[in-house]
Amino acid sequence: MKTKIMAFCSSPVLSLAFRVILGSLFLYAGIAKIVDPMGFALSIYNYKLLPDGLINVAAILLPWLEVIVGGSLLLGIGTAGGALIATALFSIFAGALTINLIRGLDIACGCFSTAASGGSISGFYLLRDLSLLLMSLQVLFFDKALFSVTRLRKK
Amino acid sequence: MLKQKVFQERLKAGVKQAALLVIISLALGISFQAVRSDKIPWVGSWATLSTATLSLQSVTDISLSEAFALYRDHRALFLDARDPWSFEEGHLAGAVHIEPQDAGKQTAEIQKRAGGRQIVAYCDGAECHLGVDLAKALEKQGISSVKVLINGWSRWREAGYPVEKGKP
Repeated sequence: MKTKIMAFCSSPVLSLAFRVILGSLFLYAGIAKIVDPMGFALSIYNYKLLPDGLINVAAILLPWLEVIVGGSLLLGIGTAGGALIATALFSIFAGALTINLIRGLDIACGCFSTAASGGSISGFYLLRDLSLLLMSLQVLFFDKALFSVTRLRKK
Repeated sequence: MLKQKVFQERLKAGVKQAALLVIISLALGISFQAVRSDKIPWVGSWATLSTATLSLQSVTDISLSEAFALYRDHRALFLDARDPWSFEEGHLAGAVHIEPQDAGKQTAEIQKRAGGRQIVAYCDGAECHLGVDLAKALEKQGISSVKVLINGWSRWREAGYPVEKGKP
């Protein structure tokens, strides 16, 4: 039983599924933020974690990292790198969410959209983030590059 | 043992690839920032904005210089959201007095007066949210794209831009 669970968790098909899920989410989230940098800057500002001078820099550059990571995971180019950055990002997001949940700030998540009406942060957002973090780790360690550009080129 | 080695190899490869992906993202982000027309500045003026105002998001603010450029070219209608007494003592030249709670009743008139120009709402003080309230109230009435000049009265006056006195 234990080996079966292990085999399932480390399955390359599962990695492919996670790559598609994570890749699409990153692409979607990144593009939404590139379209509305001011809205995303406001979201970051509301988290009250970054110094004022870095808010816009993060709002301008972070979405591009998300798009590139999304592309990397979807296409299977530099997948380990993409998954590593995804893991780092989800860890940072988890930290930011946790700090503000403890502080009790009523702010919009700013996760997949920049709208203020996106709903206040809650334990659900943290759980969702942690699930995505686990998916990233799975891809990082078990991905076998199914349906990836890297593998196609080798053929 | 073998597995551990495989993991270490993956992690090693991951770090190298991640560095490359970060560089590509930075290059793309900086290039796009250089060419896009609706960009935000690299460093924002967050210190002058208040939590009270920003907690009421969904409205866009306008910078003082941008607001003045619109004023100079007669391309904006300014709405003063403060109390009538403050308005009487002094307001932006040409501004119309309207408090957030009256927005519903005067929608048609505002639309007529604006005549397609940009509407800019303002009040006074970094903590004042009347301008934002007014913009939101107007948006509810179907007048969208109202911008807010945060701490408008003080900043406008300190910049030495045209003001006037008089009853609403």
